[in-house]
Amino acid sequence: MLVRMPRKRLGERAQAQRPQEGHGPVPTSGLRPTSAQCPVAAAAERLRSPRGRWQGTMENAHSAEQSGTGDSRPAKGQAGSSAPQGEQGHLLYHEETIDLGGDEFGSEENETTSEDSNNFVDKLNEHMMESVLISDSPNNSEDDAGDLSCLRDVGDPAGGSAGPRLESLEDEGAVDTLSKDSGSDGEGASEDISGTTPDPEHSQVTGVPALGEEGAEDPGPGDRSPGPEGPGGAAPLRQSPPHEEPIPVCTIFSQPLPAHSQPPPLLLRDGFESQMVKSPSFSGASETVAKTPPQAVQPSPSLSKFFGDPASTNSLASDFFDSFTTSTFISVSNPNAGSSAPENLSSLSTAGGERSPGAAEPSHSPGMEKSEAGVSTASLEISQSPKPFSQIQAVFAGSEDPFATALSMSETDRRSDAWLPGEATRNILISVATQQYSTVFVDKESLTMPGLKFDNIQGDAVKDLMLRFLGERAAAKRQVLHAESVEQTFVGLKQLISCKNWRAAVDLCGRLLTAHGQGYGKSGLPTSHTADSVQLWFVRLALLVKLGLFQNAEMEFEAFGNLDQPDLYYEYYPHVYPGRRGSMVPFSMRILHAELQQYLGNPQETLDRLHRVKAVCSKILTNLEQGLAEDGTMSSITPENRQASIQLWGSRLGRVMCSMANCLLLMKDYVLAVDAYHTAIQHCPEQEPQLLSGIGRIFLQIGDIKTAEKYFQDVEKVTHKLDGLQGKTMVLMNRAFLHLGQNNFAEAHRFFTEILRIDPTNAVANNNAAVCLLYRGKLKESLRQLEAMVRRDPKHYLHESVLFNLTTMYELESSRSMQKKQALLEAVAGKEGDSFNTQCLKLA
Amino acid sequence: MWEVFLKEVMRLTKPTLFTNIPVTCEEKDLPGDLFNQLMRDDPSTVNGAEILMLGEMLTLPQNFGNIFLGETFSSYISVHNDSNQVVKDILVKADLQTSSQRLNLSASNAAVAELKPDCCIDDVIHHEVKEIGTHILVCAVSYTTQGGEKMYFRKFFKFQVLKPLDVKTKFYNAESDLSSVTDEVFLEAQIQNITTSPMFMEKVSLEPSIMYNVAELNSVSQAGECLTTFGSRAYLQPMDTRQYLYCLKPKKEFAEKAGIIKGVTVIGKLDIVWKTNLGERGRLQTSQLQRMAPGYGDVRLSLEAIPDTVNLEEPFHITCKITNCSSERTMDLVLEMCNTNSIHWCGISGRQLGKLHPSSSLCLALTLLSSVQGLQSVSGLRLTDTFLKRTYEYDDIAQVCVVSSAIKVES
Repeated sequence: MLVRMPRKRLGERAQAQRPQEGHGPVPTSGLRPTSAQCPVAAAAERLRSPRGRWQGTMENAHSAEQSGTGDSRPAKGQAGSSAPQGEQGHLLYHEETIDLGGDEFGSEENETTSEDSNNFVDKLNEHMMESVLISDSPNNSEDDAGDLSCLRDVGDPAGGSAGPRLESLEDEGAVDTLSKDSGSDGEGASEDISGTTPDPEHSQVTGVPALGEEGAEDPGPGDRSPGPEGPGGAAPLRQSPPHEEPIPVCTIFSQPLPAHSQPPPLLLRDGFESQMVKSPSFSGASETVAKTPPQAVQPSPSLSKFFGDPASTNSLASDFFDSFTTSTFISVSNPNAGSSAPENLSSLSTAGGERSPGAAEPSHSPGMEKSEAGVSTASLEISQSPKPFSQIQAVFAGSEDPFATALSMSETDRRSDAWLPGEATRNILISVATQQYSTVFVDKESLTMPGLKFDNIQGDAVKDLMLRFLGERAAAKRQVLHAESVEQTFVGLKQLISCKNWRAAVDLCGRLLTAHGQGYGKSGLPTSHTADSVQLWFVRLALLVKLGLFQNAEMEFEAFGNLDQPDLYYEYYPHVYPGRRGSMVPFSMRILHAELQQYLGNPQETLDRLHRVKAVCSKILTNLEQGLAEDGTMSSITPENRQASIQLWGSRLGRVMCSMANCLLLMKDYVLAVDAYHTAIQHCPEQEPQLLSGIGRIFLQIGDIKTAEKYFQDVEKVTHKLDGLQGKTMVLMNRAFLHLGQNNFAEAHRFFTEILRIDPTNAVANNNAAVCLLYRGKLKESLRQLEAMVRRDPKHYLHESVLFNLTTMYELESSRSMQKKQALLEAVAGKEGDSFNTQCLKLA
Repeated sequence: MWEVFLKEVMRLTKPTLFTNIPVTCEEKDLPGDLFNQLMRDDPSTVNGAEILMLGEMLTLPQNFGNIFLGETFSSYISVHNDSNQVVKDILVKADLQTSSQRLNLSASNAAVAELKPDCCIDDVIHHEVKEIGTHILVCAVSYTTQGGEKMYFRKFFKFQVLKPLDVKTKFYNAESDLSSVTDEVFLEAQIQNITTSPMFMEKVSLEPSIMYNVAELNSVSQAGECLTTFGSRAYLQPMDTRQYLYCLKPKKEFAEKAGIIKGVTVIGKLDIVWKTNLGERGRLQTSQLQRMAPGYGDVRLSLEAIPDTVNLEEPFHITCKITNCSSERTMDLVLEMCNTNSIHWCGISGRQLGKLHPSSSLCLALTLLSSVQGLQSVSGLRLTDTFLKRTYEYDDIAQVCVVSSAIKVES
């Protein structure tokens, strides 16, 4: 942490400085005399000397400036030449004001002569802003000079006594750093003077010092080149490098003054600027977006074998098929979806079975056959994808009456699947519909050809940690469900999801998709889609997002384009889904597709996509209100169905607005986010209290306590929408947050505790009360509260945020935090699935 | 092992609200209600509005973060007895070493009599940061072991204090009123948020010096309501700049002197209070803002009378007032008049004006004509103080509108 540094550094730096100062006309007024006359112990001198040097530099700067006019202010002249000890208070006063005055004094003094009065006029005309020194906090008394000189006097003995002690420690280097940094801050100030009255002298002076902002990791140029610091040769060597490389800076002023013609050396200041922005302690706005490194995209040995070796492919595939055939068709298909024309599929299945030589057994259940057909056609006819498929269907087209099917098509299907295709897509769909017995050629670019892009995400981070910290035996006890250990169906998939084994669930989705012919390496190969295959993709991608594996999700999402490709519409498969209209892409997948971008750091793209979704939702609502069907066609819809449709699409619009608001929140565009939440309230009036509270919390986050309070008051007016307990909890919660914003942790704690009185199981109140306790200095109590809560209901409360707080407190509490964290790991191992985010345990 | 007496320090920035990643699906989708159920079961989501990203769960600060000048540095200091022995006379001392001083931050300096195993001494320290640059928190603990051995150790925590705001100011002198010497001054202040988080500006006010009264011009009264000029956006995004405007009037008792006030006058200082995450507060003041009394220099030339519209190539008269603004110096002035492209002075250049005593003034009637139409600037007056051999130039003293003599000048 603390940077260790050679002892002599400061002195050397001072030496290094001197030749530079020599450019100024008053070279002797600086550091040397000041520190030399300082009759304190050596260490104290080190502590003090930066201050002296600080002023020395400043004085030089001014002298240089004034030498041009020959007209120097008495006060400064005095300061420059006076004995350091007695004048320090005085000097400090100047330190506060010179920076401000420096630029002004300089020019103002000059105004007595003719040409400079012009300068002044120029200055006025240029509408130039002057930098102002932010002196310090107002709690320092107004009379800076007196006050600071007192502090200084107090500080000196302290420093003096601290000095020797520090010396005895290895950390003295750190103090040296400190001194040096402070010295350079001063120079930052003097540098700014040069900003107003450009003067090559100054830029030279300012070029040298390693300025403030160096963190522990960035020791500044001095530290980078300890070599040349050897006794003697230091000065000339050290002069040049600082000019070449921009030095990280925290100047007291940060902006270069615009209007002046800046001499080239001043460009260094620009360099300083950017350094400051880039400084490691600063975090960019987009860093809130969690960035996950892309998962290694390598087929696992099993998979590569699977795809590499046709024989084993078949055997493995047949394993899958067996597992499929063990279940009925209904269980394979999405049980939540309406009827998806199974009869038609069954008719297709025979064809598929005949045509696919790779099929293990010809007597499979229809659902299985369907995917098998997809595989075989894809491999047989590569470039003209839809043709063979429609040919297969054409054979059986006569056996079904599309009109009858169209009539029987369920209302709910139409309602939820409705979507408005883009112009190009619509044209293709129309031509498919009108030429269903001939071939329609569709450009490969406009087809969706997804495939698995990686395989290795299954794995259990909890188990890995257990192996590392608790040993093999403990790790062996950890049992989680794997993709193989459940039914290879949607039932198994749901089982994995609900017991939070999302990695395994992703894996299972992959297996099911592989069986559908969209497995690893199939990306870019023609395929066909069914409602179920698209749903599988949705689940897989949603889980990847839930796991925070955004890059992976993005890779696989890519194939779906903007979710408006013709082969994602039912109309594209008139024989599989006769009469069925709309998009196979579930609405939630569109939301997911849009939201994914914000997690990848492209919130603007998220907004664009959400706006497109919003436009379609609005259009569909308009259609419905105008007596048309969702997609704008004339059709008779019963009033009840119309009402249900309007409700569905209204709530979808609300969902989009919420997503937009969330995205704007991530972008920290709070004004727009609040507006969007207000719109969302209009669409989801039942969520008004929660959303208003959320807006209140946004204002708290910004720091606008007053507006937050206003919103919290509004919430209290609408809590009647909630049931008694929930409403009361919300009011108390908001009050607690308000006290938090007013820095009153005691009151906040009181309100959180109040919630616990009426709802003892409230996890948020429990956790927040514990946090308040910590801020009040009650670590042990805080820990007790959190531990009790986790112990009471580990299934529910082993939440990332709670565990994070708990581990943070363990770290604070004692050096045995490791054991306690490992105990938490064991608790987690017993309760959580493979999707658990182990980072919150801070074990690694 | 004796030396197992560890001490941890954690900076207490405000906690943050946990944000979750909402993933929803609809009833008809494959997972059915599963995703929504998972979100409902997640304690960090908002009950009833799970889509809302910003939850209610507080999480402790994850890293040290940035600390800015004017903010309060709070830190939790925990001294924990990890040994299995009781230790005595524990003294915990927290000092903050800045570039200029060393402050003691501990609430109490009394020693704790004894500390049992697995017990701890907790302290929360607060310090309003008043300096930029490196700070080192020095935590020192001394105690006596059961064997009577005196132990002492220290830990150092180094951090940088950064500057949160960039403040620039500019003065505008309202000097158009010829009859008045007591000018209003407008102060424009640009405040830029140079932190990385949004900043709510709670208060930006100008505390005037004793010589001035101040009027804030940052709100508009509309239908009885006072609205700020900043609209609904009450906060500053990182790198955003906001402009504040103030009007300063010299108080009566200083007003008379204002004409001869020369050099720097102290206007006042800006007091800025801001808040960030969950009400984390910061406050800063600028140093005294100083302003040069406009263009007065040693000798001030002001206009007493000038026509606004004149005829082309016809002489017109102006009356100038020359004031010796220096404090104790008598001047001997020579007036020179230099023609410009458009303005031609009538009369003798190089005229002796005689001696001018400090704080006294003389009026001077001058004649000139313009040879160019349009708005013309009166320039080219030179005053030379023969004592100091110093020349003062006066350009752009005023503007006159020059019109063709065919148009009859009214009044």
